[in-house]
Amino acid sequence: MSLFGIAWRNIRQRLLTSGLTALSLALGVALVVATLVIGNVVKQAFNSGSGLGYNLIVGSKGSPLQLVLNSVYLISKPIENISWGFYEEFLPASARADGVAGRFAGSVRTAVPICMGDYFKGFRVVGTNAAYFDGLTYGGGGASGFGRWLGRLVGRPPAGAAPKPFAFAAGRNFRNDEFFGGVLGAEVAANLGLDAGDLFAPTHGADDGLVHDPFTVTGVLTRTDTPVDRGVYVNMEGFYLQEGHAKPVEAAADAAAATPAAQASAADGHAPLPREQREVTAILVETVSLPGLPAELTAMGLRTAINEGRDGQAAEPIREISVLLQLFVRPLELLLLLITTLVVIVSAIGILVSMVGSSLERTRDVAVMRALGARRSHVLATVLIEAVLLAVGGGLVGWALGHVIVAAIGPLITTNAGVSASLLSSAPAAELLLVPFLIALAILAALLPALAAYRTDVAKWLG
Amino acid sequence: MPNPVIELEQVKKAFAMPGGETVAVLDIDRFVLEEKDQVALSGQSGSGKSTLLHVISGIMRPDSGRVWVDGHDLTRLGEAASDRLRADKLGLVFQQFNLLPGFTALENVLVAMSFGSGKPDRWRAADLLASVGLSHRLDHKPAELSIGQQQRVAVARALANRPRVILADEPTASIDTAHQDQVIDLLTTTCAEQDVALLVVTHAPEVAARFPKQLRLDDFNRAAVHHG
Repeated sequence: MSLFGIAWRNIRQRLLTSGLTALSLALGVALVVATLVIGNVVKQAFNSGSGLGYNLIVGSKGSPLQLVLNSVYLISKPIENISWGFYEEFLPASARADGVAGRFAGSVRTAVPICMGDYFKGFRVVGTNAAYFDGLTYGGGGASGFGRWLGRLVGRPPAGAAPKPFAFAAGRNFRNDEFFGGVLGAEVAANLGLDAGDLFAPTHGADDGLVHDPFTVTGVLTRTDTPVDRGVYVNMEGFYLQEGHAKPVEAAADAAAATPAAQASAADGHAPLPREQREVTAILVETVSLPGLPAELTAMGLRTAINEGRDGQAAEPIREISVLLQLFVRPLELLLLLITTLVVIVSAIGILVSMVGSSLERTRDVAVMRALGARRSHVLATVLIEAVLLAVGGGLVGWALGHVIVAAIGPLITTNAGVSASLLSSAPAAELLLVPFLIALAILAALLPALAAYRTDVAKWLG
Repeated sequence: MPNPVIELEQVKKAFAMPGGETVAVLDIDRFVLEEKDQVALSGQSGSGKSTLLHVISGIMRPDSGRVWVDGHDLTRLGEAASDRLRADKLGLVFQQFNLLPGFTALENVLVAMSFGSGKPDRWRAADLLASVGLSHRLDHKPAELSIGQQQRVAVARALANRPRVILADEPTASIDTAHQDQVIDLLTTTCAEQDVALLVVTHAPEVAARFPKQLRLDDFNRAAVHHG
């Protein structure tokens, strides 16, 4: 019989004590795993946002962080709008009614307007145009190595690091003349069971707000592992036509003077909202690379030029995300680390108490084994193996339980933080470290009782 | 000519008492157990019988003198080597049986095998238990066995590593008179069958009387006489 077998027998002999020790450890580990995974999911979600295919967000003056949270992550409170005229400053001559290129057009490759303020069953509705999915890309974040491995295991495509064009799992992008067309992110479609061809009616301002006209789902995006998965995207022309979305015009500028902004009327005959009554919440800008200059430098110059003006502000998502990580996520990580350390210490004390308790019970057994010829090293190793078995067993149960906890509270996290967490979410580096850490912890906790077993006075116990 | 399997020479052992006084327990000029010998060693309670067995088995070191087990000088060996020698050459049977309560009868024998030089052999362990009449109780834990059956497991366990000698410390002290004869028969018969020497320590004259060779510790332990 091996020492492993002897240790396993010892555990089974004290099944209740061993079980309770492993259970307390499992609960501790479950808490640690859940905390680590959620922390990592939050960090990953913010990192994945930095891989979106634009490098500048233009919005109203105010907090650049709030602008980024709103536009990229579809969370935080709605922000003020900017004028349509200001948006047009980013458009080339061909896209403007007056045929004159906007002030910033020379630095811009793509400028996609977004309008926010509506909801559909808990998800944010974003009014935009077809360029969002035709002109922008995504990527550069997403699942880590372990997540990718798990993803492959369950047949889910991993998020790549290179920018990729948006793809549709069903249907297609809406056309600009389909005023009441919409595209759903993968998570929205999966959660709400909607597919191409289905109708949905957004609500104004909140889930219980005024119900708008229905839109038709023209397409469902494939999963991107970015906040886009949680968005409901509708044609902004249809968005503008909903009650409460048109900017009130002053008496002087009556409807007759209003200038059509959209280049074409809707295919179904709806007239577009006049440009004077339009506003946008933000503009997602992908800058051009000017000769001899990288796109980042162009973005920096454009940001300075916009921020010096009065019409709005420009924020660089990556910079804001970095600030966000430094200001909020890192301290949160430290706090989580502190909590997990305390949990682990409590777990270690649990093992120690259990092992000390069982070492008193086992002293006679140790003396018998020594009398049968067991070396001191044998009894020392047996106690340590027993502790490691308890730690690894409890640890594995706790690991699984931790993931179940994450899956269980995943919807709650998604609702409150806009971050997607599931059974397969992971914190690979920390989770892999957990195993050797638990073994080391178990050895440390069992060292005292192991040494007591090592020093057992055989003659005294055999009488 | 028979060879000694246990040999003691000029062995002394004393214990320090709480008050600082030292009490001599063993003072043996010479003691020899030949191979295949079956000896009953009797003596009064506290005469040093158990201490003598602990010294012979290497569980306790003498203060002075030499102890040979199957030709190996135990007093010159390190602790680990002494433990290994005990596992390989000696089989111990205790007064309280001292079976491991969490292990089955078979596992109790296998545990003893795992500390010896050979590999644990499930078939041999089962054979040993069968030889003491327990082939139908292999998977029973000690609590599920009668006292007599527990003692049989203890004997099978003592034989696990093909020892040269079995040392039995009051093997009948905790069982009724009716079972005493059975245990002594089991020990003497099994040891004779397997060519193993047997040294049984007992304080009961009727148990000692069952052995062809009987020794009184007081006769050759000067410390016991001195005390006596």
